Amino acid sequence: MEEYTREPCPWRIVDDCGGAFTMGLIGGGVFQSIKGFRNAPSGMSKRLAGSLTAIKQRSPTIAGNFAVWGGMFSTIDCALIHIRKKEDPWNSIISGAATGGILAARNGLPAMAGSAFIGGVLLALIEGVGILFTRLSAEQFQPQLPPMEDPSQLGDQQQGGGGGGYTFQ
Amino acid sequence: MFPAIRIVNPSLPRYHQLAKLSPLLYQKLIRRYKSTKTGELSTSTRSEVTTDVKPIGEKVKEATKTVSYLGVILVGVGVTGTLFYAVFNELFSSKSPNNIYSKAAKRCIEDSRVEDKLGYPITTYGEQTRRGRRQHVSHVTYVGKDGRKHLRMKFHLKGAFHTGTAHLDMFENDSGDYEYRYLFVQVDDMLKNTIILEDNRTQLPNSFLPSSPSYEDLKF
Repeated sequence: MEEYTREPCPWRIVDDCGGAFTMGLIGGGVFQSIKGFRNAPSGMSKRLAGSLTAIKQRSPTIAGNFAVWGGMFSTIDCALIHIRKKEDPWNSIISGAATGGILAARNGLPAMAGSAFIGGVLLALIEGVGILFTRLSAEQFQPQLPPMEDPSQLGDQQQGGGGGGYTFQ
Repeated sequence: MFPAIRIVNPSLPRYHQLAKLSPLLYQKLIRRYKSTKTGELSTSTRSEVTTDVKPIGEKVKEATKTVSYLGVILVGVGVTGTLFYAVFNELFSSKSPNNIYSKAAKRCIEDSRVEDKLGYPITTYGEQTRRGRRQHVSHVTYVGKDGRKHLRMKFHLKGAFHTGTAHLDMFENDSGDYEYRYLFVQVDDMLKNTIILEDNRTQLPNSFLPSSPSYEDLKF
């Protein structure tokens, strides 16, 4: 496990922004290359050229949109952590909804509500994937555990005897 | 609208007086009148037999297509449903790790000794992932020596002066709710102080006592 010396929070925003940009660039590149390939006039060289043009034109925009989403999401997440003094799945879900809402702010209130709902549901699904993954990995890990002992930090309240009123046989 | 209807059926003005009395009833009558008209029309055209009957091979093909689409849709719905179930279970069930963590964190923060030691604004968080997320709280459920379901959890606290780690163990009582066996906070300072908030190990009924194995048995 890692050290807990450094707070992840303010720096995480930059991290997430960059990660989302990369994700958008790669994903958008793949998507746009296929789209450009199919929409181009026939002929292999023309198709490849069309694919390349589509990537050049569209995928930076997609990456930028992703980066804005990621940065906004992370900013709100950090703000929520600061306000709520707690880190749990609610933070992600609320900040996903808030991000969706804020980024659709120029399209009017109904669009904002729709986007906020979609953002919240999407982040809830992502959280669900995380929860399921940890649960599955925990179940796989379970049988190899040794019998659990009580931690020693509590002191020998039991082993000291007397107070408990029981004896070891 | 009204003049048109009047041309079609000269007897409608009779209804017109009705319109002044109850407009709703009038509208309903007109609608019924219209629907019977269209119904007659459709029955008259249906007398011809349709000729575009598909051969059996195409029908089978179409059916398999429909079934495969249905299968894809069902799988999608199933996966989404499972995810939503997991999320809702985690967020709203009182026995979910997240809610146990919330309650335990609240107890720790409200405790004056913890507050004195760690410093006032106390933040709680779980294990940190590589991407800087700390939402996942480390926990394990196991069957204890008493044959009951136990849940052991660990989460972190960060105050103004010190950080700390909270450990807790809960067991499922007869009514199926979780109860604390212990809950303590270990402060990460030089002395490694522990603040015990709850320790019910001795007060629990006999079945909860460790039967015989202790630390000696674990060292082979």
